[in-house]
Amino acid sequence: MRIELFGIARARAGRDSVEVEAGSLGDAIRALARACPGVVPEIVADGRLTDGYLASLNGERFVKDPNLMLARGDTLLILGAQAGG
Amino acid sequence: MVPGYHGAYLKIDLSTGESERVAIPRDVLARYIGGVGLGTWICANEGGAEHDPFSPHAPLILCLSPLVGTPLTTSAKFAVVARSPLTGYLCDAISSSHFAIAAKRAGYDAYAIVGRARGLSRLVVDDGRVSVREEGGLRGRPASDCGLDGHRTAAIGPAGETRVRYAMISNDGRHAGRGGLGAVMGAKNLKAFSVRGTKHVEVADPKGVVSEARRLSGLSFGPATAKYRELGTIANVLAFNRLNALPARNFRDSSFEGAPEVSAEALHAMNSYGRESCAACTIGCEHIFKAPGGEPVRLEYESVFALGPLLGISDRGAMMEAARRCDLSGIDTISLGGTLACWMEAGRMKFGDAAVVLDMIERIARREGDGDLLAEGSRRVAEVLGRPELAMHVKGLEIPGYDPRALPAMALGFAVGTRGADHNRSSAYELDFSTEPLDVAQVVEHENRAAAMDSLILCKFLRGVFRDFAREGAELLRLVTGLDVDLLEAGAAICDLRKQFNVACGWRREEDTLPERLLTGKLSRERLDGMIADYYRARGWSPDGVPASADLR
Repeated sequence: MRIELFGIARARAGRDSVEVEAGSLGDAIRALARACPGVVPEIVADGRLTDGYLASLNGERFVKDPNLMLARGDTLLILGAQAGG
Repeated sequence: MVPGYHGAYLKIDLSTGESERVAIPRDVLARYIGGVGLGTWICANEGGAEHDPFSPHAPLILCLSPLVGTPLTTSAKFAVVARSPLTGYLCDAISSSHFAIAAKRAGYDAYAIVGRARGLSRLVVDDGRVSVREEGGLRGRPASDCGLDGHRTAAIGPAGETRVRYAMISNDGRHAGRGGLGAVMGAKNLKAFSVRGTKHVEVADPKGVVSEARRLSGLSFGPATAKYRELGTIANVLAFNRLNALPARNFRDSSFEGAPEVSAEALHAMNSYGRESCAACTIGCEHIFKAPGGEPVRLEYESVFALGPLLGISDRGAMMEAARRCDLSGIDTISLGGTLACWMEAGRMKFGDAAVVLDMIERIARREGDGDLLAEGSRRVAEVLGRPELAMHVKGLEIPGYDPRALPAMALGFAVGTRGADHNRSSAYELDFSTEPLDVAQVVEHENRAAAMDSLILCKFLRGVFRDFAREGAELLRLVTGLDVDLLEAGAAICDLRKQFNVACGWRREEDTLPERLLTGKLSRERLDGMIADYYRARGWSPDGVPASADLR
């Protein structure tokens, strides 16, 4: 599956997206941390997104349950939760 | 005297040059605090709801707060409050930086300006002493050219002089942008307001304030503000585009193929110039870029949206030059973009025609040719063209860069906003960026919190550093003033007062709505009306949206 990164998450990762193998949301976040160590610990800590960051599933809804199972073609968007603009 | 305050506002009549000190009761300070809250109270007290915005009797209020002049980060702010010539309703706008500190040192908590000067003039308040000086030589000049040695100045550009209904008031490179407050100032023949002073106010607990200032400053360098420090609000462009929440081409579309060209990433890579901060701010959110001619231009998300995707423009250089010309002319970029987008969809210009946009900005400022009609804003333009459905506004205020079709909490905030479609007074998209279903009571609480922040005044970019803003913000207020205030109750009272002001101006229930184009899919009219009904109930208002409490005076 594909993980797309925006804003500070992109800056820390040093890339705008990454392809990972993951069955669940938790797996995907941990895979992101392994593929892009720069996101640790500000974006990902202890295998979870930190408070200031969110995951959107396919751009349709926000998700946070680490046990949520993902489908093969799913895309996760990692975004900052900081409002303001 | 309540610590943190002078305890009075200065009422200045430009027609006569006379001024009077008006005491502010302690219970008013405790209830409305400062900034937008106190500013709204003063505006109502001076009859702001009773007069046409361009009338000499209409008051223009510049209101400080108890935190101004303290070492608390982001506290150098002031509110400008008046009846808007664009909407006919209350407009409260926040601006920042040195002018706020100087205005407080000049000796008052607020300035209420009435009357009309004989010719284009400058108002000067120097340690409480008032003078009105002819400044005909500044006619047509940008606000940035209107400084006075030794003073800090808030001024209008040429658009304010010609009463463009979305003209701004500018100071220190910042703007009280929305709602046409610059036109109110222009209608008074007031080009510039310059202040200087030496009058400090005591705070209740100086050691406590310093300690909190250090704590907040430390937190302001942390991850909660990283977006603003490192990228700026323009970081929103690609994120919202991907979420189909970036309005384009007059809200016909919810994403824009040219977004990468005007994104934060492209701007930082190709056009970066520098970064600045307001006085007394440790965040430093202002990102400056180099326009095509080499001049610096500050860009925020809303300007990029309004002068880029909303108009179908992906030419980054043209977008930056448009922003620069808006700043020089003294024009709100969001309302300009919304007005031109309406004009484009009506077939009077082509989407994406950047050259015509650049030319039109200055024609609007001079009210020349089509610029005269366009200076009236999208609602009036669409009415004249016989195409009211093309104006994307609420109560006459053009909608900012968040597509309500994708963001239901923002949709509600836009619809019920007292100054019109407003991303700052509502909950913004915090509640839409959530795994929880929309809870209207939380929308109300976020509005109350925003009203409290805008009255303390602290920058909303700081809100992520608070674990419990109601408690921590109240503690800051107590350390400065000695007052024990329930901030969320104060926020609710301020929201009630704003609504009462609008009711007095003739607000009708059907004005709490969104344009028909945006009421599709999951955001049907029925759903929006249901949310609005829940909102009124949560606020304790009548089913028609009228507060039971809060006398207007």
